[in-house]
Amino acid sequence: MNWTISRRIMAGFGVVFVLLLLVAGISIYTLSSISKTFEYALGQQAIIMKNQPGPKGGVASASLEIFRYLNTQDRKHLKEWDRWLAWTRERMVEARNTSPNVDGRRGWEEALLGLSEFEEAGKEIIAAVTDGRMADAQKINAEEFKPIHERMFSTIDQVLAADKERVTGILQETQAGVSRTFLAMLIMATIALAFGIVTASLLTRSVNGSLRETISALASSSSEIVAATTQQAAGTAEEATAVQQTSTTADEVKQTAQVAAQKARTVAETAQKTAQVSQDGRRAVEESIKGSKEAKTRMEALAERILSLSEQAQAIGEIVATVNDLAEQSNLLAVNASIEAAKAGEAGKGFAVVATEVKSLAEQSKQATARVRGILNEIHRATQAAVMAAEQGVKVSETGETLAQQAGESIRLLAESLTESAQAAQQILASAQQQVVGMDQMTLAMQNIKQASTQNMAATRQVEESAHNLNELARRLTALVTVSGNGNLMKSRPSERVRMTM
Amino acid sequence: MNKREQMFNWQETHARLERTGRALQTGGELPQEEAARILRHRASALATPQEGAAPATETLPLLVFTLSGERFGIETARVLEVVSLRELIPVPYTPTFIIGVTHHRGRVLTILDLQQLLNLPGNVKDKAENRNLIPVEVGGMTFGMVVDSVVGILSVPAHKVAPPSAVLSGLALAITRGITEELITILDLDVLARTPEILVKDEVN
Repeated sequence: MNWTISRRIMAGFGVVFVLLLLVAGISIYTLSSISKTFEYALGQQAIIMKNQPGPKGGVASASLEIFRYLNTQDRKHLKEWDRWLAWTRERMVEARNTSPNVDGRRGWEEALLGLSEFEEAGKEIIAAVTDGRMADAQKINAEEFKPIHERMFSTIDQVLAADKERVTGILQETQAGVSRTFLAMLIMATIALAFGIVTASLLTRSVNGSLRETISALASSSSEIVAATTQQAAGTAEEATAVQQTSTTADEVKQTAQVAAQKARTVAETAQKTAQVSQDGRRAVEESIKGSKEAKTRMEALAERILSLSEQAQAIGEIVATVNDLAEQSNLLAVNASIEAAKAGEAGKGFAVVATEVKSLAEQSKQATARVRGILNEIHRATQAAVMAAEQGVKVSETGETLAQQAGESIRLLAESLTESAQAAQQILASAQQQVVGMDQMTLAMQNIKQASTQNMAATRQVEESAHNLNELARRLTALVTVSGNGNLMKSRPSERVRMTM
Repeated sequence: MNKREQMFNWQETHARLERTGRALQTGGELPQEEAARILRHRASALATPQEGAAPATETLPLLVFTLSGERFGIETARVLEVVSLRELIPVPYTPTFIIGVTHHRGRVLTILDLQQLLNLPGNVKDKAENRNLIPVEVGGMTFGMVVDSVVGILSVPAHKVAPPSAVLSGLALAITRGITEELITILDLDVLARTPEILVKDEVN
């Protein structure tokens, strides 16, 4: 049922009220019917009393029997007298017992007393009759019995009347009571209704109030739980992924470690081979250095030789200079000879020719010496170049030597580092093996984590379910306390905050 | 450079050295035929009469020398000889156109600075020693002139001498007799000797 709490409370109260009304109605109806029945019964009783002999009739019958006895002295009437007396007594006792009130009972008591008197009188009469004292009997009859009989009648009438009055009074009272009751019922009903409404609304308010807080707390808590479980679920999913990746990585690492171990072994082998090679290399380097030194020495010797050649060329130069000087002198001589020849005139013409020849020779000489000087210069330049080449050669061989030494050093360092790397490879091998062991352990651990994660996942799902249920609960509670517009219920999603509009 | 190339070089080098050695051994003396030829040539030259001997035209025998890049010529009649200046002795308190004195044939020879006199560029006097010195005797005076170099004797036909150029002035103009075809400036030493500035008084102030 999707009613709000207010409605339900109202409905409950309404039902109660209706029941109340019903009860009231029923009771009123019952009362009235009872009163009617009572009235009817009284009426009937009155009728019956009218119809039935009643105590009065009994008294009358008893009296009649006394008369009949009186008159007939038939003993059967005595029986009848007793019977009717007893009967009347019964009736009076009955009436007394069923009398509604004290007055009534007293009335009947009086009646009973009267009846006793009656009885006494009757008995006297009987006694008298029995004794044969008819006159006494008549006298008693006339003086006591009849008045008593009359008194009895009147008493009974009074009592009956009183009873009747009482009954009527009671009836009226009853009716009045019924009306009062009816009114009271009505008032009570109205009060009850008002009270019920007020109480219902107060109840609803208080219930809703506490419910509201609880619901909002519930909703927020359940939202948080849902969020947390979602996160956890996500986290668990990530965890699972990570575990998977880690397992894969562990396998990879294991493989890598094995490969590394293999490679380390290879490195160790190679290192051994290379040690041998490095030995050879060292030897080759030493020889190269030796050769280099020899070359250097030879170069230096060569430079010496070239230098001595150059100095000899220099000697040549000096000689050439001397020759040039001679040529110069010869030239001057030739000029002077020409001058003298010119001074001598005709006679000197032959001399002039000679002088000219000498001059030309001197010129040629000079030219030759010039050429020689040129060649000497070239020789000098060549010598310089040669010496420089030798020097460079020396430098080159020195460089070569240095390089060879460096190469030797490098080879040595290489050999050392190879030895180190062989050792390192050994260590790598060891650690790779350890790695494999470690990876196996890790794989195991990963399995455990996976299990735990799965369990965690299941638990989370349960929590999530519970949270959803809580949310559902919140939603329903919200529905209970929320009414919007014209009484339509507002359905809210479990994850939203619940709005109270009550 | 591969080994084959290297070996080839050495072989050739040795061969060349061998040839040079042989040449050195044999060189220095002219072969017989060569010597004979040269001598014959010289003899013929000497024997040749002086045909084409001096036509009626006058020729000037000049001693040609260079100074400051220009060629000058002076009459050989005045020239004593051509020597190398051995020892230059500068003399203080002498005019600027006198570089100094030197020994020549047992006498003291005054050396003139022709560059100075002719306003020629150059500094022949700065490295005068070992240069060519031309002692001349003219007008009773003997003095020497330092020159860059002596070319030689040249006979120039007189009609081929052009008058000096107009740009010259002063002493240069006075001295210059003319210019030859070969652009040799002929100097007149007589004029130079008569120039009052250069006359050195006997007295010393």
